[in-house]
Amino acid sequence: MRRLFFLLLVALALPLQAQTCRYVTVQTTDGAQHSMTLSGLKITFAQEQMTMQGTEGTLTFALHTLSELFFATAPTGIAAAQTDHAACRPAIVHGKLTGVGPENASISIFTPDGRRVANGTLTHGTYLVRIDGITYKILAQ
Amino acid sequence: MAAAALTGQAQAQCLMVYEGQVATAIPATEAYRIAYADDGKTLTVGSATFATAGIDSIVGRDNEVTANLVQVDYTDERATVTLPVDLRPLLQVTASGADVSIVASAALTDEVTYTLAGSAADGSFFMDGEYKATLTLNNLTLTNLRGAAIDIACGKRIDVKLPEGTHTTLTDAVGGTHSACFFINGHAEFSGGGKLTLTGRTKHAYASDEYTLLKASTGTIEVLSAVSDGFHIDQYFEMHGGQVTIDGVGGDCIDVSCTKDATDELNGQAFMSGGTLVMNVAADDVKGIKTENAFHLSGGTLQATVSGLGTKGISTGTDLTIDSTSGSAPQLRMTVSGTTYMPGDATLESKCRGIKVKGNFTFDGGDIYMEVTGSKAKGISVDGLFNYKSGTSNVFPE
Repeated sequence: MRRLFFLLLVALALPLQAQTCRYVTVQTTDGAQHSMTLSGLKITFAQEQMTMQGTEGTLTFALHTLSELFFATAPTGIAAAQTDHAACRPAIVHGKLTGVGPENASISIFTPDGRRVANGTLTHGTYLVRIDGITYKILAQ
Repeated sequence: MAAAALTGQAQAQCLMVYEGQVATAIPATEAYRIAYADDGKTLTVGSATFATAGIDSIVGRDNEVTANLVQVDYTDERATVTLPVDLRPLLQVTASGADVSIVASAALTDEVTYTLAGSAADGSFFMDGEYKATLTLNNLTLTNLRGAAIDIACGKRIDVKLPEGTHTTLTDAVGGTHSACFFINGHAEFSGGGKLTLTGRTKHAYASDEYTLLKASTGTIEVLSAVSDGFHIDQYFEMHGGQVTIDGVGGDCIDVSCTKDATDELNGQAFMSGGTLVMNVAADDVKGIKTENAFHLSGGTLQATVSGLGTKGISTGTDLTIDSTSGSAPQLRMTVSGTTYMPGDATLESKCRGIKVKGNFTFDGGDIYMEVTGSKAKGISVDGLFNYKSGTSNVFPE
């Protein structure tokens, strides 16, 4: 018993090897975090936006909203949100955002140049809609 | 249970930041965090800063990042330089087409390994800095139509590695102003069982302005041709191993001269204790191995075909010593068929010699065999004293 305890103590006392992290997490200035799998991830910068394309889909952020990018052994934001927002199918119809999932979802709507706009005034064009930390690129119909 | 508590080893991954022909690798560990600043216009990792406008893409890769390793890959008309993010603030990297220039900061205090691979029909590699470095030639085929193929300017110790099983071929420009196809400003130490082929189309095939050492593990180095010398070395040349073949040269096969600093050690001397050196001394009035000062042959095999007018297989400015102090008896084989070099000025006339010693010749071990057929040629000529102690030879100074 004592030997088993000693072995366990040694195992726990061993310094953890610097683990290779499988996820990249981006944190925005409002504290929200979004993770994507590192393998196959591609990040590009254009028109003052950063776009992350990976196995989970595509995320786009206005550059000025970005705070930090770091590696993680576990995902935040995306994996959990995907479960909660399985039924989320946002769309803009007649100037109004619909299909946003949970009733208490936190929703922000931005134009591509980063200006926040109100729901119900969405004219023809492309909008970036953030729902509970997940950003969707939506074309107003 | 203890085993279960231990974490398994994960596959190494990184984020690769691509900016034109330069890729910077960020290890995917929690130690590396990327901070955005200036409204997202810049991102910083440690001391490395990137302008997001200059980033082509950042891609997740299943690659391990090796510290202090810079990889240069030549692909036809373009070279890509990959380096770890920790080196980025310390190296000024310029890659344009197949021309690569890397200048290390004086703040660099770790040895960097530069591994060159691939092929380019018109490219180059230039490196400068203030710290020693390692240069690995990994199956590189590089021709530069405008200058030297490789130019190392840092003036420090350069380890040149030829990995086993690889073959690197370097060719320089015709009619250039550079000194050699492969030039090292500094002292070079060769190792590794691979093969290196050099062609010097402007002047020398290889040159170093401080000593050059071929370690026992050195593989094959061949000079196909050179307008001037095969190897042009300042300070001293030391050969512990390797198969060195020098042919098609318009100057000396190996020329060892003194540096301008009279206090430099072993200045103007050559030492051979192992390996095989094969020299074709066919041009007129040149030497196989020429030393401004002494030459000590203590092992290995030295072969020379001395056929040009007035040529010398070995020419020493001072003393020659042939002995077995390396532990194995040196073998010296020469065919001396050249005749007299007569350029029209009697003071410049020079007869053909297998060995020409301006100082003293001490023979204490080894075997010398020469076939001397050239008119007025001699096997061995000594200006000073000939000291015979041991060894076998079919020729002796007259």
